[in-house]
Amino acid sequence: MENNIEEQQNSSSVGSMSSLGSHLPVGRRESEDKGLAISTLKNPTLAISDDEMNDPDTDNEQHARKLILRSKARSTSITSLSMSSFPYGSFALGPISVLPPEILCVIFSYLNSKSDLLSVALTCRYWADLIIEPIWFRPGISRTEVFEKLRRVMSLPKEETAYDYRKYIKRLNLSLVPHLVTDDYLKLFIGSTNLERITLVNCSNLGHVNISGILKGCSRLQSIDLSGVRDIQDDIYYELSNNCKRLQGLYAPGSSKVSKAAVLAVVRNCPLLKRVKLSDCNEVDDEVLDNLVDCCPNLVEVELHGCEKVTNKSLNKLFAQLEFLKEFKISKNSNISYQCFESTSGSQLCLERLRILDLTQCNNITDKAVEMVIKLAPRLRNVLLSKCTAITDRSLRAIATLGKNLHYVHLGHCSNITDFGAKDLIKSCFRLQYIDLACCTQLTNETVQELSMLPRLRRIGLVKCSQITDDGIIALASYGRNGDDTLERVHLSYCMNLTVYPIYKLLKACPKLTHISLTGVSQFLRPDITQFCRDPPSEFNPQQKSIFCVFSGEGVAQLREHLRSLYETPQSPEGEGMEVLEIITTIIEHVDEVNERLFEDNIQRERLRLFVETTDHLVNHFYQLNVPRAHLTLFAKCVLTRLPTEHVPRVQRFFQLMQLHPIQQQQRQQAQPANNRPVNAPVTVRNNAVLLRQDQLIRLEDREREARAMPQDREDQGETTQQQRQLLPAQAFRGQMTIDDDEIMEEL
Amino acid sequence: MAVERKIVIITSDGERFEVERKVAEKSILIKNMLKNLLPVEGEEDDDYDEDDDEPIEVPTQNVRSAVMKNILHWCEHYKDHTFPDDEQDDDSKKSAPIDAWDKNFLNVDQEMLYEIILASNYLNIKPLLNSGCKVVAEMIRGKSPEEIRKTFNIVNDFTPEEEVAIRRENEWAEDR
Repeated sequence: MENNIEEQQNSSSVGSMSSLGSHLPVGRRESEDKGLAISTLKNPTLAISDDEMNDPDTDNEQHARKLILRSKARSTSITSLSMSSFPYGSFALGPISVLPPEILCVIFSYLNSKSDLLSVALTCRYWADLIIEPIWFRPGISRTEVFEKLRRVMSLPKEETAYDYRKYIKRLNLSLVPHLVTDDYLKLFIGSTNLERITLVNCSNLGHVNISGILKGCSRLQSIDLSGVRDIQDDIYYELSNNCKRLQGLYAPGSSKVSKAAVLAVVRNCPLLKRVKLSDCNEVDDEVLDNLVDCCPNLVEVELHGCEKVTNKSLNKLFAQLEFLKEFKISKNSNISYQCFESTSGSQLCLERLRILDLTQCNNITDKAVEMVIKLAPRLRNVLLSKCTAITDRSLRAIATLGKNLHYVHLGHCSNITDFGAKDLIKSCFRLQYIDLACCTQLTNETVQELSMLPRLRRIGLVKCSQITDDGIIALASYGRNGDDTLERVHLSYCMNLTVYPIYKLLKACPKLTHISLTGVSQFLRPDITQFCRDPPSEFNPQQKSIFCVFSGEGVAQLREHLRSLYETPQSPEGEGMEVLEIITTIIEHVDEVNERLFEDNIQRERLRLFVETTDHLVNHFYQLNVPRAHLTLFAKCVLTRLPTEHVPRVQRFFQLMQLHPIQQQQRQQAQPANNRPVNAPVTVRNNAVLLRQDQLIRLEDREREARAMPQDREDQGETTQQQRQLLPAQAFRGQMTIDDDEIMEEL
Repeated sequence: MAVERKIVIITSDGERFEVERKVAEKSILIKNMLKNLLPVEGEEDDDYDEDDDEPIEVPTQNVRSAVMKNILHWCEHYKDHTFPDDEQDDDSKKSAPIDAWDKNFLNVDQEMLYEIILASNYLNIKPLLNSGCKVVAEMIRGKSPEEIRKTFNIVNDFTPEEEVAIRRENEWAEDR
């Protein structure tokens, strides 16, 4: 359709170009070549390529300016500048006067800086006329300064400005400064009737009156993005339907105040529509959808989140008729079921072009529905089925048949799925970049191990997959992950069993990681770690805030560095000594009373004694702090009694320090040169899995020993270490793992 | 076995340049013309006819011989080079600096430069047209309006008021 329009324009412009008296490839190109790139070139805004529309304003300003200069080079308006009616007198005496305007435009298109464009504009009238449009066709309002300067220019009366700039503006994007945008500001642009794109994303202060005002006379409008605009009302829809017959993109999620009649007016008057977002418009029902499908055969993208009235009847028609459909999104619709994917005698369904399917929280989507749609749409790239709680491993096996086509899958809250289905899916779809399995509580490390094999994985969501343990994270960190690892975001909140060291391994293995969430994972809720965590959202309650633990951007790098220094470099004994002293004094000072009766029991007394011994070694012998024994005993009692929660992180840190400087190392290995890596446990295991099983075994042994309170072990430092192990198993094992890293890597 | 036919380009001032086909075909205009007249090399030539010994004459009314000599020099230099499809319009290529050989080749007086640009436009030799335009853009870059006028011998036809207005109304545009 677009191409047809362009072809017609081409022939007219070529015709008038010939009056220039020479063959101009610049002008002629269009009739020769018909590729998309050329049509975009000629009129950059007319042909919206699919990706462009997705991301309307990140494309390069310079690039766009070049496009418009080139399009200008072959637009009909410029032919009026042909030599026969050259209105500029003797603009140039020099040889440059031989160059026709279309060539000048190509030359200007190579100017990259705005100041050069301004200099060209100030050279002479002829050049100014050529360059004003490229300066204005898309004012890049990216910063407050530009926003304000432009306000001043636009506020001048039209008669007083050198040009009527409004007619040059083709793209208006205010979404880079949404908080600044007011009704008064938007009003300044009323009368820009050549607008082709309007982007008002998140300009939530805008009212409907000025938005509809700006649409008056915009017969060339191709797309409008009102995502995040709150006050979308009928008048906007009626202006669109009256003025903008060439509208291709209408992004208006949040049209909840809009009537059915208004939506129908747009649908019936804008036959070129390719992309529509009508999410949360309660008035969208089968009739609206039927009309949409009948009137707008070019639809590529349809988004209907929360349109609850839509049923299988109109959806079936939509899938049967929209042959270009590439993206379909509907959520929270409980009507949609397998029936909308049924081929009947009248409708042979084929969704060969469908790439994105979002059926989030559609309760009646069952395995049967998933199997049917996957069969119809074998080239799906993104599949979103979160909160489709009915689906099981059967659906996952169906999705697995998408194979390499699948890049993005969201299966959060699909709590029926298990490792079997997830593994099948992950094995087949080896190009997955994004996977979310939040709250799929049956999943275990087996799924994570499979995930670790994915070479292009960028984002993993495993929130509340509480069966996942360190084993899984270590697999993720070690298997197949290398220097150019692709992983960027990992969500592990509420995976309660995770501990610090495996996460450190993951951070180390994945240099591109920019986001990791560990909210509610107790091992991470200690001050030395949470200091790098992002601020919790202000709307959180104190309880939520206290367990919030998300690292992003710089925070991830800081966390990585902090853990690296904890695990891999020797600490400064002075600094640590001070820290230990601070911990001991704080705890002693803040605990008013110790329940002495607790220590009447033999086992407890024995534990106390051992702990005091160990602490004494650390504090007085290693750090040489000379803390009185009585204080240490009091401290030990505090630790062994139930401490107030705010002190728990301090104690954890204390154990960590203790772990970093194992006493037996001092005593037994004094002869050995200092090693960067703390060596406190014999190297006995060479495999992660075995290692952790060993961990559990030792913990069991510990308990048995404690129960018997074997006196012969009293003086054994090993016993003390094992006791700590029980308190902080993961930390206790850090030493072992560090030693084993290389060997494990080799073995794998 | 068909012998390659000679191609003779005739300039506006009547000079004749005999060239290899692949040199001539750097001009898409000539290439398309030849496509209709000559079978592609190596293909079976079923319609052998008497004229095959005659050279093909390509008249180019818009290009004088001094310019054509330069153009053919350029085409000769690039005869074995395949340019990637233009029109990709990827930014990297557009913002790429001028090819060093081209820059040197285009180090001519302004008159010749513009004639080369015009001729490459007429003959549809895009890489040369682009290089030529880049050279002119280079002459504009970083200059004040007055310097630009001086460089190109352009007359300032603004009133002082107009100049002030244009500056005031367009200086909001900033480099990002």
